Amino acid sequence: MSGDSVAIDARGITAGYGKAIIIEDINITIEKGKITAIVGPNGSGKSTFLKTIFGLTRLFSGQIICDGRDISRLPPEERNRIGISYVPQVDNVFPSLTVMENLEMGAYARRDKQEVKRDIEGIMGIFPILMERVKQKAGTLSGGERQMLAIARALMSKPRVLLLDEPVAAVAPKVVSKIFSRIGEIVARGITVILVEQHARRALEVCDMGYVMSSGHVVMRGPGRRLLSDEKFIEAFLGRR
Amino acid sequence: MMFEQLYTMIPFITTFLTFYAVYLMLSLSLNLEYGYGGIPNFGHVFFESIGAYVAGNLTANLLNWIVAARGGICAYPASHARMMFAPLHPIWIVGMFVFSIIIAALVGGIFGYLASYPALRLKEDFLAITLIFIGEIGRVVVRNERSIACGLVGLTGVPNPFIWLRDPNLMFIAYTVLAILFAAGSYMIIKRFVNSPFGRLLKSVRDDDLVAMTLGKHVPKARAWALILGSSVAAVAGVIKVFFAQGVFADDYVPLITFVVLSMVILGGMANNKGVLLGALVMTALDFMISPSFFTVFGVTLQLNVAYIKYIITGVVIIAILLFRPQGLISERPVETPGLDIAKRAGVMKPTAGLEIPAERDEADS
Amino acid sequence: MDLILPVLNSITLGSLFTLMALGLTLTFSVTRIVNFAHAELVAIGGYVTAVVTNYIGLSIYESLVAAFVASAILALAMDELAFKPLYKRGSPTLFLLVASIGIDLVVRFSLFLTADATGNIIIQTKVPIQPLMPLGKTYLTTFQVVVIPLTLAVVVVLHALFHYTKVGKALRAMADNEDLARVSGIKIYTLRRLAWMLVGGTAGLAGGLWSIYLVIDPDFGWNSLLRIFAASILGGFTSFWGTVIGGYIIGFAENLGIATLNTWFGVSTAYAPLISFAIIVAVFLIKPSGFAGIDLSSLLAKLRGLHKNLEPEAEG
Repeated sequence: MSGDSVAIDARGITAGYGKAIIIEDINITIEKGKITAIVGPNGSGKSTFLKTIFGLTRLFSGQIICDGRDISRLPPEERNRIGISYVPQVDNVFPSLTVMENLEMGAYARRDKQEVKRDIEGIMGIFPILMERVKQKAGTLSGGERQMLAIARALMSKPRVLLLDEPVAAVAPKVVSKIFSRIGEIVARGITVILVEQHARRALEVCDMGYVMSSGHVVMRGPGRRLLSDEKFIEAFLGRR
Repeated sequence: MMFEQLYTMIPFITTFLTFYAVYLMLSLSLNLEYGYGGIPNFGHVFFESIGAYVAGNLTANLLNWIVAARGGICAYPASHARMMFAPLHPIWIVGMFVFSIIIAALVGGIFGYLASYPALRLKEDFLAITLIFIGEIGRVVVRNERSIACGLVGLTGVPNPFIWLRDPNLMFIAYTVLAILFAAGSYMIIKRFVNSPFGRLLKSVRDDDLVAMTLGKHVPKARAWALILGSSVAAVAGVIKVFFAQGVFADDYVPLITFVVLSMVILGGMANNKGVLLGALVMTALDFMISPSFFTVFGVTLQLNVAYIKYIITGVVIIAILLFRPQGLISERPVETPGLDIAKRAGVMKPTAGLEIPAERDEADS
Repeated sequence: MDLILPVLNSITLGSLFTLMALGLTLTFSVTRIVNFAHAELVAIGGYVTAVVTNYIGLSIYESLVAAFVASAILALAMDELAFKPLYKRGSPTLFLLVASIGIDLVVRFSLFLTADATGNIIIQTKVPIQPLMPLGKTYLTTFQVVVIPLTLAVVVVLHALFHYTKVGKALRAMADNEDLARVSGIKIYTLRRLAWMLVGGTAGLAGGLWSIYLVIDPDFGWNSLLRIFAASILGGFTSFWGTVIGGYIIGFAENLGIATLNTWFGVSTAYAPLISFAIIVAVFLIKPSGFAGIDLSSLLAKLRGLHKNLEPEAEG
């Protein structure tokens, strides 16, 4: 695999909180312009891995390489500036700020005021529902609207890599497909997406490359469709039908 | 020669030891509530003052009644009459002391129970705010309510229970021994409590709120008992101080006292009674060393008010310990249970600290 | 009863309480620190104003600017030396509160030491307060004409900052969710410094105004703390406008309120602090979110539904 096609390379990551180690010796390579899915049961360390990429956990050992640069020691706000954006699973909008202000905060590090304005309009095109709620406080939005705002906010920083932590976990079933189709549009724009999902089948269907985590380790890897048809995977994680 | 020197030091030494005993009772009880129980009772001085007011008011009123003094407890003739009566009637005055201790312990406990109502309902930092200001409010009330402790002037004429010994040095020594006995008693009672199932429950709750929820109804009970016992001990400490000073003054009971006691607990090590013995000793010694009278012993006269320096150091101690040694001088030890004893003998478990010092949030700054 | 004087006094005091409490609210919103050393930011402001006016001879406005700057620097120093290191280590909020008590002791008694050594244990800024125009049986004074508009100006400027500037919005974002602010690229430590300077500055300004109004001593910040907390907590402890309303309510309660209790029930005016304390306890036990937690529309709906039947309570 050539270095140019790698967006983020996590090498031997061991991380956790305080003294507790949650994930151990994780090696995951994220290819540019693709969707990489990380699936696994509850508590397997998927979210911790995403947080680690963003520097929100304690890194005990290992390196995170982004475009050939070691970013392991960079504070989270700087990681945003080098083009990584993150949508946490919960608490992913600023509830007391309006929808518009949330979007502005997404573009906080950007200096190109005029272009930010144009991008906000562009984002409204992708998520028309936000247009109607521009002046409303984010805390008053519904689960699905909130999730869309969270993704929109993350996109405002013009990221090259977008980290999504269970984007459909708290939304109504009929909104799920809507959000997934938006993710497709995002990738089509050339943004690399890392998608963490508990619902393995859904994620693996849309992804290019899939990683399966269990109790803090990567236990399987491979292209999404192949994992879906893998006997061992089905038995362990999807259950026989 | 040697003996003579020691003799002249008696007032100083006995005063120091009595203050140490009082501070010890205050810091041990605060450690029970805050260190073990995680209840930030930063209104500790309020509970001490309750004991003081009970002792002063009760003793003055009863003695006034006995000597048939006129003009109420605050009048100077009455106060004088009480001090004249006491040396001649040892039984009465010792009886008054014992009675004051019992009533103060009870009333202190009742107020502790009342405090458990907000303590079980408020977030801990909100509780701390409320309790700090309770200390201030108590003083405001007593300063204006003359019937409690004679308002601004203060109540005098609360005779020392050993006043009938006539020789002041003898009286000091006897009272100091008594104070130390009370401190030792408090130490034993609190130790028993924290090593009981209630005490272990308290610690587990402090360390993990989730555990509290799963354990159910005994938790509020344990915390209420910690507050009852802690407040009761603090009130008794208040009684000890009143009979030593032979008077009560509302302005002595300011939140500052709580903060000095808090510095003792933090310095010694939270949830560690042995550490608190040391912390209280260091801070009491500091209190005595930084005083004009101590300097004059060495022939030095100071121009500035040294009390200020004392409180600056108290503040520095609090900040420095939190920053550089949050576990205090002596780290927390596991509660002494039979199981632990067996484990230690079998070499299964190292007796290390239970209080985990949280890890770095992040190294990088921007 | 002539109401003009007590009302005017209440508004004046309310302005001062508001000005003092805004910083406390900002501190708690942005850093989650219950800062007891806030009292000393006020006290230092008072002393700086008095000393600069009385001894250096600058004008009162220059002195107030000096007080703003001095307290802002002190606030910054508090954070850099104590709060931030503790925060970075992941200390629980109660540790930060205890640290603030330590800081309070250090600053308060250093001020005592200095003031005592230089013979300034009590001091008042030497600026004559003059009557401007008659108002009923009383006069509107130069002090009131400065304090009330100045407070309102500070409130308006801060409101504009928080709602119409990028940095101000980022501060609100940080108060909402610090981790999310960081991942959005907001430099939280830079903003934290800005917040502390605003906190110190407004508190220092308030202290400076106090020193014109009354004779102060190094304890005056600490002695005002109960009112400051009451104002802030009444407003919900994290709400800007809640604090403004809270400040004026405390102003009225401590002035008109206690005067009323005094004339009707013979309650001593010395008990004024009890009102603030009662307010704190009541808010904590009944509605910890203070004014900020009262949702007007749902309240109205509830009132309307009251005579129909009991509805499940809708929390704001």
